[in-house]
Amino acid sequence: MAIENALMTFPMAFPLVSLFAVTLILLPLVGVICCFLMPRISRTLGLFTSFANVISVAGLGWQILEHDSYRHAVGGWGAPLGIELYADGLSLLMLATTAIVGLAISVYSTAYFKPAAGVRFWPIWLCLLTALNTLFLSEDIFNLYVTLELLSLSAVALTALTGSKEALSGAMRYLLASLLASLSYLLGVVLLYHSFGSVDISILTQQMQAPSATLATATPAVWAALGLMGAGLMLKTAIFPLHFWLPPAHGSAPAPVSALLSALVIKASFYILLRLWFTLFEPLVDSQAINSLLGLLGCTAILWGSVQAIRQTRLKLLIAYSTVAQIGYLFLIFPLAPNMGSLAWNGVAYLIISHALAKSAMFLCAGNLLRFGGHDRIADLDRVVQRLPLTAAAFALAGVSIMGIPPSGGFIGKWLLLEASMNQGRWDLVAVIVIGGLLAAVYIFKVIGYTFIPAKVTHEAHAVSARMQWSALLLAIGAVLLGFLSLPVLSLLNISDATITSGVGL
Amino acid sequence: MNIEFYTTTLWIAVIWPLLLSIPAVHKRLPWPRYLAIIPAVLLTVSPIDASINIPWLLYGTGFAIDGNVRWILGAFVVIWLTTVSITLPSNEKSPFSSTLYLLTLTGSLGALLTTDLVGFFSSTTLMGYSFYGLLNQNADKTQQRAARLYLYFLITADLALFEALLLVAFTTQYFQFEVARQAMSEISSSSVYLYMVLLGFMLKAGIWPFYIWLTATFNSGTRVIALLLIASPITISLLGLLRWLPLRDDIYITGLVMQLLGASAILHSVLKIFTRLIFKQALFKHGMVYFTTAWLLIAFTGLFSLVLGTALLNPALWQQYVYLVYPFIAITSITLTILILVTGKNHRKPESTDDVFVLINKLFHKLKKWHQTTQQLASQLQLTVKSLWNNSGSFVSRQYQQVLNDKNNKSFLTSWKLNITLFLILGLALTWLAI
Amino acid sequence: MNWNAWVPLLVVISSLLPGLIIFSLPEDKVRLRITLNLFGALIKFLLVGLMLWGVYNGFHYEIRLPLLPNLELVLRAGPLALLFVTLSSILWLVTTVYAIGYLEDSPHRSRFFGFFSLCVTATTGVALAGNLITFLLFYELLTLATYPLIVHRGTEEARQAGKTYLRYTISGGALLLIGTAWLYSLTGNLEFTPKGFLTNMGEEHYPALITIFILLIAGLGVKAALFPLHGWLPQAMIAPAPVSALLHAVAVVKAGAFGIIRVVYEVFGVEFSATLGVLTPLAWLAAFTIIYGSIRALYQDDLKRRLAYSTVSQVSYITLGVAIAGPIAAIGGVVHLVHQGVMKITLFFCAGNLAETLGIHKISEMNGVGRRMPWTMAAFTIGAFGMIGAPPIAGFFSKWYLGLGALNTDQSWVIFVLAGSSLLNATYFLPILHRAWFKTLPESWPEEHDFGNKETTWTLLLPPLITAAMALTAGLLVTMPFSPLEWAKLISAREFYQP
Repeated sequence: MAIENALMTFPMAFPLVSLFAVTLILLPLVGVICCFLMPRISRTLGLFTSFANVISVAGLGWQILEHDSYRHAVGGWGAPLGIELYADGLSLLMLATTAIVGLAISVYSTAYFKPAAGVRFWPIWLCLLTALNTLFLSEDIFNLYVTLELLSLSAVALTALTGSKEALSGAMRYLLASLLASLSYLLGVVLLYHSFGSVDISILTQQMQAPSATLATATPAVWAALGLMGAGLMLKTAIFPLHFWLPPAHGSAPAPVSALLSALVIKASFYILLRLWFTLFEPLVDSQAINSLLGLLGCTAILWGSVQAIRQTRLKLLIAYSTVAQIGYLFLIFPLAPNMGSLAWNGVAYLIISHALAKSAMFLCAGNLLRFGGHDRIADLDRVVQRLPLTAAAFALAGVSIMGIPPSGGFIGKWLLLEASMNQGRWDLVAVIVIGGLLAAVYIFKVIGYTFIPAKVTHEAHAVSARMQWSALLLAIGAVLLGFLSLPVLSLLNISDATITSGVGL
Repeated sequence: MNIEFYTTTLWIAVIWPLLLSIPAVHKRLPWPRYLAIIPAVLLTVSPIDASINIPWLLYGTGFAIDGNVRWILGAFVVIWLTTVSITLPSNEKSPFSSTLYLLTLTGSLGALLTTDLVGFFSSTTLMGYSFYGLLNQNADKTQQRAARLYLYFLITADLALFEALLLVAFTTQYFQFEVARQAMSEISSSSVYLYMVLLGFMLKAGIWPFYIWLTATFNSGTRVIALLLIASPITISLLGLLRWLPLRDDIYITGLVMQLLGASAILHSVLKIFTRLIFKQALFKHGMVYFTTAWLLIAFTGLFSLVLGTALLNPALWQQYVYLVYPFIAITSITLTILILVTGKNHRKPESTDDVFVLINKLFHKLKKWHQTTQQLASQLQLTVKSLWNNSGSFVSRQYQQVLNDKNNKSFLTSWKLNITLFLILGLALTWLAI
Repeated sequence: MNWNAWVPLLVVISSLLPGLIIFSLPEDKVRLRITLNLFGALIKFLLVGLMLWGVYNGFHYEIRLPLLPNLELVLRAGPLALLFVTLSSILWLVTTVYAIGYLEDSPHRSRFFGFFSLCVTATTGVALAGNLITFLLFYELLTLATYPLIVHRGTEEARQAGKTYLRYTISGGALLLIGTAWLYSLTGNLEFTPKGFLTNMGEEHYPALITIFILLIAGLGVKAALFPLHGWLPQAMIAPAPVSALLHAVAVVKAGAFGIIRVVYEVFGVEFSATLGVLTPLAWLAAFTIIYGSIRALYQDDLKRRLAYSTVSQVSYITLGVAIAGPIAAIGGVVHLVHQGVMKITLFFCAGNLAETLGIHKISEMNGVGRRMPWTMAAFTIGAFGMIGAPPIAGFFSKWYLGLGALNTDQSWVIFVLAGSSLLNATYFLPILHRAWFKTLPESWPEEHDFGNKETTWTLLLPPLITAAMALTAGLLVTMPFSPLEWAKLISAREFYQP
């Protein structure tokens, strides 16, 4: 309500950029309420909201491009008392990715869900969208906690949507894991609030980085906060070895939900981790050891996830393990960023976006195949390359990006990471990046190979609507085309407050 | 006008048989084999020397005819016409016989008339392989074996000549016979070139000691083959030797060796023929005709290498009398032709072949067997390695399965116990590292 | 507006666009598909002709598109690029005609021709790439575009072959990627430059540069089928004949060989590579591959497999020519790119004809086939003799320049390799010819299709005849302007040994 007050109180002083930012938060929220009120038209509402969301992000982007990074005190109450909204290049990119992937998934879902299931799906999905948008715009750690919790709960609800035994057990596991993570994060927030009396990131950063604060920083409370928040967020991001909840959850959820989870939800917690790590925890994590630890986890995740993916016989589980592996790449930023800031930063950001596009496309493809043949056993894919060419093409194109073969977004990301690790002489990371790509090729071409040959057991084929096929294909094409858009994307990424990215040398 | 006519005839003489060799063309024309040689006959009977340059072909080749070449060409045309006239009509109908025949003709005429090394080499290649084809026409086992033997020699000879050609190209940019020979005579490192040329052409002409293929072919072949052999590969190779060989003062050892080889050749053939005489076998009856002609031929090429040896020993003298060599080749080959014609009509194939030939065959069988054994061994080794690999692989995967039995998500790795522990450890590690 | 800049891009697009449209065509729109295919091929051919003329007269064709900060996608038509583009555009045209005949009435043609066009697009891109990153991009695209062609038949066997193919090529691509990235992080430059751009590197970088060289060559060597990396090539023979033809003559194998030329001459620079001491091992490796491939070919009874091993051997001639490192050997290597392509595509067309018309796949089934299909076998004979290096067919002149180059740089051991390889080539090709022409015909063929009184359809017969004629002409008219050899000389003078 505070926001509406603000709208009325300062009609003149309210800049356009804030309008877009606030719309991003309110629009899906309104959508949720409407969906609950009018379940009959929830499909239309959901589609409309996702579409409007894209437009608002575009508007926000336009404003940010004009005026640089943006900070807005909600209700006129700035930090340290009120809530602040903040948007820079990174958050804008995350918002844009969310909007685009979200739109595609919405289009897909209109055909995927039967009305009865749709009634439950749409409000929860819009709720998730609200959480995501707010999360990417938030600037204080408590607000982040709230959005994180909202995000997790709606994600869990979505996972359990089908109500099958498998889905319920997967969702349960997911719920418990994310509750544990949220609690741990919340504990960290409390500790920090106790130490510094603020939850605003920029204020916390200033306090922790100030020379006089060295003593204050070096308290066990801050260390513990780092440990708790870090571990919590990493559990949510499902970095190896804490990935145990991810494959069952992603593997058993309905296809669009899996796409959402893999593409966006885990990125959200990683986004927070990234933000915290390079702003307020920056003085603490200066040591080589901690970054090496995270890098090591990343490397292991890449190898382990890929190997596990290769072992899978079911498509959705394969894709889920592939996500585990791809998250590993994101964690390579921690060992690389301290010295090779912008390269590693750009590379990881690029990987986040291209992975979001490619992985959502992949899950949507899996949904198509599941709908088509009634199963997702890889060995029985039965000539889908001929019978479902658009889906097969989408899977292959998304695979190109995941493997990091040029030209694709994944390639650009990996190239930048490779460059960063080479400049730093980290040949171990080079090896892992390349081997990860090779392993990815193995599991992706395992699937593609089976799409060419007839299966031993044939299944009755069900029609798959064009909308479902095209939304997957367009996402995959987007992931590939991203390979040609690096200049605008990277320049967008470089828009930020000096303080925020000082740690990574931008 | 007249000169232009002859220069045109020059290249037509080569192109015309090539055109005729296409089955679709020669099937529609009467007597294609006679037709094909008409321009060559024209060139032989006219007294005019002519030459033409074709700069766009290969490295700028050309065709020319002068008095020396006319001798060889004359002999060639005579033998060729004889062959055509005695070819059985049935043979004429065999599917590719005409084509191969005409290709051989093209190659031979090209080699005779061309003015540069590359053109000569290309033409002799064409001639050699088409002749190999002719040997294989309607061939029985012995003939095929003889043909194969010819092929081995041909390939080896071509390799040697290729090396020689490379050396020429390394030395000079011009491939005209005279220029190239001059250039090769002047440089110091030409001995390799000399050996290559000698080796190549001796193999091709069947000069002693490389006569095995020649006797084999003679023994198993027909009259036509015998005549063609004299007309094409041998005469032209001798001509090639005359054209390619560099002459220098300081290579007299090679000259001596050549003389020695030539003498041995003559001696050997004389001995062979005399042993026949001693055993009172008629020289020209019952299958002996080819034997005798073959050895006469060997003696003739031996004589030639004797002469060549002399030339290497004394280039100056050679330059004076070289013009005599061409009529010598022409006349000898025509004489041999007559010999075959007159006596070889009732030829039956002899049952035994040359000892060396048998030996070579045996060697091949041995090689084949050896190869089979090695292949068996290799496949066995492969099997062993594969089974070892599979065993170790299954061992590893069994261990792997035990740890990772993640069916139904109930493996150790996905248990809450482990994961919560890991979570706590991670949190503690982060805290500890931050300190 | 400089129109010349857009020509290279148009050349790439001229096959990309038809390919993409063909994907979307339904199976039964045969005529439209053929029209599109031929139209694209023809446009490409004309554009390439335009560029040939332009480059000969000193025009400059280059387009730069941004890819990454400080890194651009560059398409540039230099003499070397044009040699390869011309080869691929001509052979694409011919192969398209052939494929239309070959795949008549077989399923999945839209898919086939779509990927076929993509494959050519990638090859064109590889040829026109003006820096290593662009090269890498198209090189990988080539891998991806060929895979569906190899598994096209959709059998389990095909899938396995595709798997092997990928195992090799993707690993190769990864090596190339590492090498490229390392080079970039070391020098900040990836542009193909005449004489290379590394000459100024200090000696402390030499170990790194040697490693990069090995990485790049290993990455490219996979496609060029250099010795330990050649295993995929015989397996990939499972693909339909037009694919094998294009794979061996133009696309995949040549992309690797072409890359090696680029790396040695325009990344490292031949003199600098010699300083690093990496060329002699490369030459030895190539020489070994030449002999090894020939020996393996001897033991194959499957015709296409024999041809495949022959490719392994022949493509290394190109590498050898590059590694000998002299202006003349370079001409030999570069011109063999074209010569081998034309000759090998002829052989594969003929093998395809035999398989399609008579069901012959094995050499032991080829008895007397020359009488049944004289034109096909005539073309095959020309191709085979060209491979052996018999004059005046094109292959002779490649060997000629290689040998001459070896003499010029005092590496006469190469001559023995050449001679040995010629000998081996003869040993595995001549028995085929002998069988085809001189053995008696069998009672019946394995699987005969009736084409009336013609030996096979025109679309199948014409392409091998054309390419055989090209192989012959390239040899006979070797000193004419615009002959492959003369163009190779131009390349050597303008790009490799620029004064």
